[in-house]
Amino acid sequence: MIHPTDQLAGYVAATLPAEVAHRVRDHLAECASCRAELAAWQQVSAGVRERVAAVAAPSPALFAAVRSRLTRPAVARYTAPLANAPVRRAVGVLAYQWRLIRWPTWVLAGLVLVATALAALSPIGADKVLATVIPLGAAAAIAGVCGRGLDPAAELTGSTPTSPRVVLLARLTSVLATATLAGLALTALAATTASAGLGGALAITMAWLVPLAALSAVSFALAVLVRPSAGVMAAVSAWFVRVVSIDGANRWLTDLVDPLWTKAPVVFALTAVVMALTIFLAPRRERFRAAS
Amino acid sequence: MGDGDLDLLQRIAAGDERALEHLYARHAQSLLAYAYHLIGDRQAAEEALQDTFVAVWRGAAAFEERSAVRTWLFGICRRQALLRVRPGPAAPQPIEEVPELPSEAPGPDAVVLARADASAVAAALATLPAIHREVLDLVFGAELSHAEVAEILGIPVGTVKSRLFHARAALARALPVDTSHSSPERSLPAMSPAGRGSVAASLRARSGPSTAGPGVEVSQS
Repeated sequence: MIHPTDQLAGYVAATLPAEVAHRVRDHLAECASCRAELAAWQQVSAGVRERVAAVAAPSPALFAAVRSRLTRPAVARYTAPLANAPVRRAVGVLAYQWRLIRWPTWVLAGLVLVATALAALSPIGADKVLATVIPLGAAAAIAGVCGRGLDPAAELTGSTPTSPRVVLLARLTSVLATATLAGLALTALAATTASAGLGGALAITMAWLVPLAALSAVSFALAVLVRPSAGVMAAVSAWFVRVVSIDGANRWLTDLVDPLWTKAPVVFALTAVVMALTIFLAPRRERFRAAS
Repeated sequence: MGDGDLDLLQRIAAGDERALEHLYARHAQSLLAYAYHLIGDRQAAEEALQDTFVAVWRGAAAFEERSAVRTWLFGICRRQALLRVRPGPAAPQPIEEVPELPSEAPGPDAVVLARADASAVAAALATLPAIHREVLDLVFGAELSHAEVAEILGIPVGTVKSRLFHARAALARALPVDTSHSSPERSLPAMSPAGRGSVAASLRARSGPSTAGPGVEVSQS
């Protein structure tokens, strides 16, 4: 027979589930040694309860003191501290995201930038080079920086009053701003070297800015809502189809991705919608993951 | 009790001070006793209790129902109380072992405890190391299940169980010195003087040759 020895304390405290308590009771009826154990726990319990009872109840003044400290109504989690010094907070949140990027990333990004600059000055044409490199780089960086489960500081940011949406937005902004600034710098360099003028510079800019928006949105949505590799894979797939078919036959696949590079108004509008929706859904996704 | 607590907490999250007062009325006494026994100072325990309910007011919206409200309250109270525990001389850390579970006859500590009375046990409790006293306070004072105690202390359920047995053994070791000296007739009524001597001897043997006193020597069982 198995003695319910380590259930007896819970039995005395009446914290066992009813079914277990039943079994213990049945066992106790026919087991003298467990009854002796039970008696010992009952003594322990009586001693503890006597000590608890010896502590005088808190005076009414104590709750009055609590109440006097409830000056503000209970606030929802993220609103109160964000109200003061919004600009300083925004700059702070943005600046702190940079600290999470390790030095190999900077080195790699620098190398890619230099190689791109060299290629852009070559006879291939700045528009083609920049339209190939910048969107893919940005899409990969977004998946790496914003992707689910990749954040080394997730526990920490989760406990701060800053909303996870704000953090996500800060990271997205950082990457997009960096990619855009790099693109503009390279465009200016290429346009000046080729003396293309403002119109030429604008044409080069649109050549990379449109796919930058499209691939970033795809990568961002999938990396945040599904997983980082899904974001990278989708961006790379679109990019690959475009690269291999850039001068190729007019197949349906080409037709499918081509608008991502050319239809500026639609792409920009859809990008804004997809990114906003992703930021809105992101915390819900996290909560779902925590619950499952 | 649980459902009512959850309802109160939702109202607190919506800014209802009445609900906070109700929650306070339900739990303040046992939380205060718990904090008091952790800290050993009434004033500091009352501060911890205040801070607990201010934290409940602010954090009610963030409660995620992963545990019972009462467990959550004790968890907050514990953190608030431990902030106020003065770092005393380092207490000997009991070794967590697999308890020696009695297979047939009840162990000697069960016999000793069964013969003691509640106030003697209460007095002996005061001499236990905090780690043992706390688990007894949570199980029998706060009347929380082993799983809930495990959650509050951040230890596995198995450790709660073994700690309970160690605490009980330490309590029994702390007892006989008090009871056999002060009122032997009441605490050991059925024993002949010879029998009493042998129990005392066996308990001395259990607590080793040290003269440090009851309750200081822990967990050699």
